[in-house]
Amino acid sequence: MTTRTKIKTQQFVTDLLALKADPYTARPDGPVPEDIPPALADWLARLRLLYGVPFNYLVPHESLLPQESIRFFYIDRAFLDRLVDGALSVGKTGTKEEAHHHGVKAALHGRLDLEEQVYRRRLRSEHVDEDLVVRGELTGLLLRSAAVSGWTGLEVKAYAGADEKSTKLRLLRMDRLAPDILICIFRGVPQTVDIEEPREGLQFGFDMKPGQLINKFDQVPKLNPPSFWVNLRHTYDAAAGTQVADKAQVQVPMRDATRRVVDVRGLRTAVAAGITAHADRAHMMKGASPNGSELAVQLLQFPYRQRFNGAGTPSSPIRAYTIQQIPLLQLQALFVAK
Amino acid sequence: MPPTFNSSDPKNQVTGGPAPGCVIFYPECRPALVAGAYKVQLQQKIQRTDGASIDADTPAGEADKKLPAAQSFPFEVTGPRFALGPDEVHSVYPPANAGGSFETRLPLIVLGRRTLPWERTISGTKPWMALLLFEETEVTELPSATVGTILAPATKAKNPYLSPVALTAAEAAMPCLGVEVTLETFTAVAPYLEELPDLTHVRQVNTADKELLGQDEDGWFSVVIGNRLPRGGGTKYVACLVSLEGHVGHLPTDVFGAHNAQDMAYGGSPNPKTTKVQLVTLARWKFTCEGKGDFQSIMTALPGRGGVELLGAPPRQLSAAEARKSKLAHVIMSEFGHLQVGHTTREGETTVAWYRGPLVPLKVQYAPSGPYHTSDQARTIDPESGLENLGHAAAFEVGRLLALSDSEFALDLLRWRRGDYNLVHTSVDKKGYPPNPGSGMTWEEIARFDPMGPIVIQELLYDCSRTIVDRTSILAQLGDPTGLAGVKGKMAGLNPVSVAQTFNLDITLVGKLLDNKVLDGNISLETIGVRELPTLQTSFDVLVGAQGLGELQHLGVARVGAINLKARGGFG
Repeated sequence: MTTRTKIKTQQFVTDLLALKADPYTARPDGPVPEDIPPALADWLARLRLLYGVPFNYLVPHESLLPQESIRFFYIDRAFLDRLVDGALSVGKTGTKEEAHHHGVKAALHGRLDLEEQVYRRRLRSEHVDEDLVVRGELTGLLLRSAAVSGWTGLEVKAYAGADEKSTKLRLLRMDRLAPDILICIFRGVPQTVDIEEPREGLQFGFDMKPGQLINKFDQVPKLNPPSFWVNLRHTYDAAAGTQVADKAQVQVPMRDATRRVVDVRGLRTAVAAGITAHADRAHMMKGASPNGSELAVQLLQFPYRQRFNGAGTPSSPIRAYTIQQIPLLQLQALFVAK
Repeated sequence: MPPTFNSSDPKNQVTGGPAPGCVIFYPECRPALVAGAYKVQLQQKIQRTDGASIDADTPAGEADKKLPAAQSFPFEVTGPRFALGPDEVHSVYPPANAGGSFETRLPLIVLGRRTLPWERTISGTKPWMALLLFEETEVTELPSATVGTILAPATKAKNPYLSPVALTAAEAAMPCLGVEVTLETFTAVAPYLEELPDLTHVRQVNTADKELLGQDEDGWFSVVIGNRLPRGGGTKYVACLVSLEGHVGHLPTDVFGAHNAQDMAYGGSPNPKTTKVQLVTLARWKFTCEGKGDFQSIMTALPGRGGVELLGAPPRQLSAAEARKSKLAHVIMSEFGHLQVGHTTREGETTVAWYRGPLVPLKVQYAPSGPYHTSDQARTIDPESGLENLGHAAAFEVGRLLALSDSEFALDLLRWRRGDYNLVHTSVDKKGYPPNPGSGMTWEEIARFDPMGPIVIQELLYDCSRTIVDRTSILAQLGDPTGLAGVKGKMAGLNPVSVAQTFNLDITLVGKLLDNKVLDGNISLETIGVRELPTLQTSFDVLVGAQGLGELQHLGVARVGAINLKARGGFG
């Protein structure tokens, strides 16, 4: 740099900083300093959340993310800074642009620190609150599994502590990078990560009792078709979703036992009879007989939740995660029937 | 002005939905109007306040002032009928093409629109779709079917029971998915007509912890459930969401499974085993019922299969057999998650370098650095191995290429910079702003530093030749043709000679022209500031004479010949 350009650059930086820091140093009749244009901040926040970064730059070798695996990670913020530097290098032909970059760097990064935290909320048209921590550690996970391709709308929750009672970490990004690869980015270091079956895909089903061998005198033993049972559950009170205390069951009537076609009408009658005969019936239906949704709740199979617990405390670096199984969700008030 | 999104506006906030982790069930969600043809009828009527009616059509003596006749406006409510768009289906269970133990689970399909199952109705107000589960051997897919070939009379021989629904020619030509099953299978598997409302409902969930999928952020879904359980042992199944329009007569209504004969409009004595039913399929997927493959078993199998690790962490101690199998054995990794990759240097040398992406296995100390202007600034050398670490340089290039591929972003960036330049130029206070201590120049002066080009000088001379009154003020501008006169004292190290050369000015001639000290050699004329002007007037008169203009040509001003002619014209 020549002396002149150096002077110019330095002065330019000083000026820009002064203007950005305090708009009142500008002349009263002068223009109000422009903030970073929203479209730019938005674009760069997306870049910070690694949108558009080719997959092989994220996972440089396939063995790092084999099939049916989950990988947790920290995010290297210096890498993100270089991404942003690279994007801002477009059209940078001389010292004037470089000076500009120097001048706006601090303000830009402060803005992006906020933007990256609200990008997802904005996508979801949610209210964006202002109580944001300036810059958080970014962490996340990559899940490559048939669970991703088979279960659209998986729910992922990360907590700072050992269970769901601790602080929930903000989910900054959740996307499928490929049909079977899911990426999640959180703010903060999780100690617990829960991956749950989607709730709108809550399945309907029964408990099965295996079929019995019948016709022992035949050469080929035949299996009696298995029987299916419904466990009655509370629908309307605080214990909604939990099984009734006496573990009452209703057998599922079949229209065609070989084809396993359920007699839905008969099931309805049977469940209605089971509910009506039950002492807790007021907690299971509102009308004289259960309607479609009340019946649905009785047949629900709870979503499975897989919990991953980090070894070590949040303050010390987490070196590995162990897997912890929670066979059934025991969430209170899972259902709010109306 | 385009409407802007205001996230603090209560209207824009998602409220009233279920709390996180909750789901609300509704038995149904009917649209205000089901699909079909409607008309709005408009008629005016005048009534006296006492209630007696007035014969408005023929008021006495005013036959020409009749009320307008009744008008009707027909309109149609449409909706999906023979096919669903790919975005209508949110998810299915069991997952498409999956294998797993689904023996105790009823199949279901989740639709993104809550009113969809009730947008058409059959047999009164019953939903028009049902989810049928067939074993693969029970069902024949109809390739290249159109709505017409399934519903048209031509297929009647094969499918005599289908009562065609009313459809237009365009609809008939529409390709659609179709399946064919025997009447016996259909009757055994299809739900009873009365069961349809029980197999369809609406759910509202909280979508805060899900990936964003497009239109379902409101959390409303409609769900259609099947009525058949799959059988294990590797049985292959086809689940079909079918339209029941035109099939009401085929649906079994008898609780004991035998279909109700008087509902079936067939003649003769058809054999249910050979008679076929063709169905319009709105969505279709396959799965296999086998072994353990539900969500729970997939998730719990993770540690034993791909593992639960930190990305790029050094692999745990492998057994010899595992190491032979593991692909990681062929990959050289640092303990900090760097990967050795092939690298061709600019000189063409083939070597290896470290690369580490943004996802790292350990907390990295972050100290803000930069900004960097080229990717080379981000190249580092690993002192231990002596290899280059190209991760951050690669990041720079990725960022640059992503930005370049988005012209909108590049334009926004340029606009933003330009806006900031203008801001600095216009809002710095002339007097009050602290000058740069090194230069003695105010920023304003630097910003204004814009030497005149030859064209500007030429224009000034031309203006002088046209006017006598204002000549002094015009020539005053010529006193500082390079713009340096104002700032020369403050700019240390500036070589006026080279500045003059840059602007193609002959210092000697400029001096002569302005009748100031004539320069000799490289001695500067007020170091090219060229400021004094008292004798300008006279010297200019000399200049515009033939002799002066001859010398002016040496001034280095472009197209001075043109000025010559004009000057002659002006002064005779």
